Amino acid sequence: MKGIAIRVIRQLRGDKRTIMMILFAPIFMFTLIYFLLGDTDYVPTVAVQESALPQAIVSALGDEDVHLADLADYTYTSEEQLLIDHKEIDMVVTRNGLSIDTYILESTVKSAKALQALQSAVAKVSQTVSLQSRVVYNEGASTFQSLGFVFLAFLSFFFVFVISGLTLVRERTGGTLERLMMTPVRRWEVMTGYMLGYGFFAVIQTVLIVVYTLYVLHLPCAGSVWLVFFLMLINAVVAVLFGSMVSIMAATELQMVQFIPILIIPQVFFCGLIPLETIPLGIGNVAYIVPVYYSAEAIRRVLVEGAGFSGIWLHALALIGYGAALWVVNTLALKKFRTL
Amino acid sequence: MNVTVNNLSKGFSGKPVLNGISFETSGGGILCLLGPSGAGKTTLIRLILGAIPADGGSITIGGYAVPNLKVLGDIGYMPQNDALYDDLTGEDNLKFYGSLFGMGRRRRKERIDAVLQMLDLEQDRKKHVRYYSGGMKKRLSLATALLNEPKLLLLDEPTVGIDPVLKRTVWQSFAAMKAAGITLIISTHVMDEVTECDTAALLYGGRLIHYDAVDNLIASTDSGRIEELFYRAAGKEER
Repeated sequence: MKGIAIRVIRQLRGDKRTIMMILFAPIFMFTLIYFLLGDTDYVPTVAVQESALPQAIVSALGDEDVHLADLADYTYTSEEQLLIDHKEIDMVVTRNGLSIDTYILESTVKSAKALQALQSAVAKVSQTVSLQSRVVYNEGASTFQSLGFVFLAFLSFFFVFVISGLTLVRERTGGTLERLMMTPVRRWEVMTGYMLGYGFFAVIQTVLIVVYTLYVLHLPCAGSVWLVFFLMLINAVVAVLFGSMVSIMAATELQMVQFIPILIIPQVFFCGLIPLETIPLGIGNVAYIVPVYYSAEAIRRVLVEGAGFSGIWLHALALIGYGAALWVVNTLALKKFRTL
Repeated sequence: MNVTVNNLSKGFSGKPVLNGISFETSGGGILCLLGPSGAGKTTLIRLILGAIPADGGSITIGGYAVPNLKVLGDIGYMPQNDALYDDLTGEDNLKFYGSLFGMGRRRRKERIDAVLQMLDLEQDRKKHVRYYSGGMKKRLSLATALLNEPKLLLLDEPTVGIDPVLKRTVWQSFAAMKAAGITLIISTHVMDEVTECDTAALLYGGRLIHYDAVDNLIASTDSGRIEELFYRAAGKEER
């Protein structure tokens, strides 16, 4: 068992590209996602109905980091149409009786910034004005801050899965697995050895990813960082076992890659990217057989809700149970190479 | 260790590969599994090891039905393709297989030094296997099979793809192992190699057409060449 773990570690250490893939590809992806979804220094343009709005609010908004435009300078049939015709305008602000109406084309990083600026301006002037926001196309906001947990769980799972699955397919097809089964090693020792060997890299990967996203990219974490480490670690170990199980079904490395869009990519949809209740025909319940769902949900609770161990233990237990079941399946599957 | 094969049959996806094979080795010596490609030599070796289950019949090694963990500890196996890890050094490959046999650190080091010396790989032990030549890989694969000081060696086409000089040395080392009391089962399709063996099992079309001492088999031919027995079998089939 120890021998197998040490061999896996030595083997991967001798393969620099794989090391880079397992350790730095997630970091690269996170950086990319951070820039794609994260904060920008974009300055939004807000068209305001200067004549109708209280002067205090207009000047307070002018002090915010926005470009102000006067609605009177435009000819338009409706606010909605104005937003569609003038793409440079991120938000329209009008007055409607005692409340302020805002119009945005869709929820984007740009319009979110505009709305944020208005809220801050209103708060400075008066607490009593109510804001009515209207979204023309509601396409659901997504930002790095609010969806970081999905990527934490999913990216780590994905990369560990790819590495462990591919190297195990190579072992099956290359004959080394059959060869090593022709020694007095026990099947459970083989499986546990693999788990520990890849788990070693999973630990390094977990530490790198968590430290990078929380401390370099400043993903907010309301709960304990140690709980995040703990969850990410079981997540990665389950990924090793999942990769191993899928490798049983793949006859070649190419077939292994073909399983990614079928078995891995759909997992991302069931781990928080889309609210499960909104998925029709009860398909949302598929989440309960998706391992990343459990890790993503638990990580979300820690990051966003600041949940302690009592808030995540059930999900953690489900994940561990999932891993244990995969371990048993994998150990039994080795019977193909030796019935004993 | 004696190997007893009794009325063994095996097929893959409905097609029979081996049919009614029975033989018994008797204490030491080199048994050669001889036959053309596709005769079922590799399948027979894998069955003897217990890597695949038989469809019918039985196999025992040293009195134990295969596969048996205790017996596996006394077997050395060299598969046809070199089951080595390219990303590891030669020495690390041996360390790994040594650990699977549950060898202690000291014994493992002694055995690794011994097999590397025997197969003349000492200067390449720290080199990654991906930089090994075909012949070096063969030798390392053989070194792996010898690591656990086996009492029974199963070698699947050990001399394919190695140069004549090396082939000579390899057969000399087989003779040395035989002298040390090890039973060797070696598959080959090179008819010349049969003279190096004590007993030969001739496989043809999934059947055991002859099983006898090599001297007797050669004496039974007109030309003194073992091929004749295959030609006869082929002729019989045509008639």
